Amino acid sequence: MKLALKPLGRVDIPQANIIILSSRKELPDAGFYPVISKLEVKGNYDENLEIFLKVKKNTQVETIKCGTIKNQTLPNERFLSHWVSNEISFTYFIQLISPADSKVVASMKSPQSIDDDSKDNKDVAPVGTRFTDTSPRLWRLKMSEGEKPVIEISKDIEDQGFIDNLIFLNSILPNVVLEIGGFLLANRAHLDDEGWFKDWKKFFEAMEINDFEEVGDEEDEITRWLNRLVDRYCVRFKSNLYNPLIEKLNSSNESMEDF
Amino acid sequence: MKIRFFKSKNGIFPKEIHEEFERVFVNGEKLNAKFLSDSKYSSELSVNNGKDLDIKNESQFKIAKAIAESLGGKSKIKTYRDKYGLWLWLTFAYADLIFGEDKEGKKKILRQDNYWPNDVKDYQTAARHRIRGLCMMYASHGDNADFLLNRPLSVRGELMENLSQSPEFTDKTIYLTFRKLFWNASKKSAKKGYASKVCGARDLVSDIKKLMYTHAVELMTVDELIEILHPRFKDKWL
Repeated sequence: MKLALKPLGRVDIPQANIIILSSRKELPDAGFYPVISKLEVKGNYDENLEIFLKVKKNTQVETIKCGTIKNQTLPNERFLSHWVSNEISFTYFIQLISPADSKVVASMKSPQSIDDDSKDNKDVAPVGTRFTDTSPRLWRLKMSEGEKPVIEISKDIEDQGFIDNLIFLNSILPNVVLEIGGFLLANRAHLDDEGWFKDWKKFFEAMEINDFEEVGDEEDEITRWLNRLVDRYCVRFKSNLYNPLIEKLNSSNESMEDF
Repeated sequence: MKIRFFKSKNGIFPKEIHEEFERVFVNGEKLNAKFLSDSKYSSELSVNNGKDLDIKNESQFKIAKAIAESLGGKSKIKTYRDKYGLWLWLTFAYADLIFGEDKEGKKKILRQDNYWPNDVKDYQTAARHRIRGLCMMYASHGDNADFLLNRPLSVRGELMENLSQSPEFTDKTIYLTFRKLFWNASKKSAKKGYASKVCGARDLVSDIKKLMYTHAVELMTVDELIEILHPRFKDKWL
């Protein structure tokens, strides 16, 4: 059993309690800068605590207060407009602050990175979700050439927030990528057609998977390629999926004690 | 002259630029001025409302201000942070003013990253660049940067060294706390002893770093931060 000493009495904010998304804006003739398009801190915290966001890119750090737990606010769109570059990724760190004395009451365990290539950061996600009749399966993936892939989840689940459940996401998303990769490979002649094929091709290219045309028709070659695709996906999103889940699962075994 | 930048191909400068850099900033020889204006190596930077840059021996503060004006204003400086050709050209342009002297009067040549604009991702060395570093300080703090930049270009100084070592320390509250403690605004000079081991700049960095574990010092006012510092700082400086 691990024993964590908490001499400062500070509470860790689980990664699963934080939703943050960024997108990119163009500064003509200069490049792009990141815009924080969504920020939400969930959890049972004092509603008067202030949300303090620190973002860091290379040697630059910016900080901003994003309202309180009760009234959460987004940073202004031009907050990071001086971070002009073609590389938009950055790290963020959130603390919850007592307004009376600026003391840190809760904070993330460590800074996390964010970049705008992740599917969640796009206005239109390349995969949809829908609660429907899937019994006796918990979920299934529906795919067709005309409509973007949809993850159908059993309507028997009453908690709609279930789709954010890290165990669920870690279990299904690699399989979703596997199935979509296989579907695209089978229809590789249409990869550049407008629509979801093109979106997913771009998504895979962002993961440096761009050899669709070179994969042969042998079953073991296709299997190897798909495994590489899924591995690449899992590595790319490890900090969003795998790490927070492991941290969450392990933290439930910790016995904490204040000194 | 108009501000310029050295041309590069895929981020690589011509070998002549590297050779001239080595001659001037490693071997300490005098710059061949043709490199500043030869269109084979450099181009004029296209800037809206950019003033001409007058290279002269003045304080770092005035140099930063002059560069800012040639780039179209203080608010524009940070958008050029990773334009390496610009910072390299500026280093060449100020080559005659950038070196200090040792006790024997010989040119004092520092580590290469003082003169070569390293990758901005390299947090250990990027802030050390003599021109880019002072411009970024001016971009962050404007007229309040006077207390850091009130010295010749050839002198880096203990305060600059301490405040640029950690990116968090560009925060306004932290910066102005240094200014309030160590700067005599009426005399426009640093207070005597600011580089001391006890209660000096390095000691203050250490104390503030500890407080950052427990407080969001960036959300506090300067007076609030001074109140939670170890009392030795207040006793000594205020």
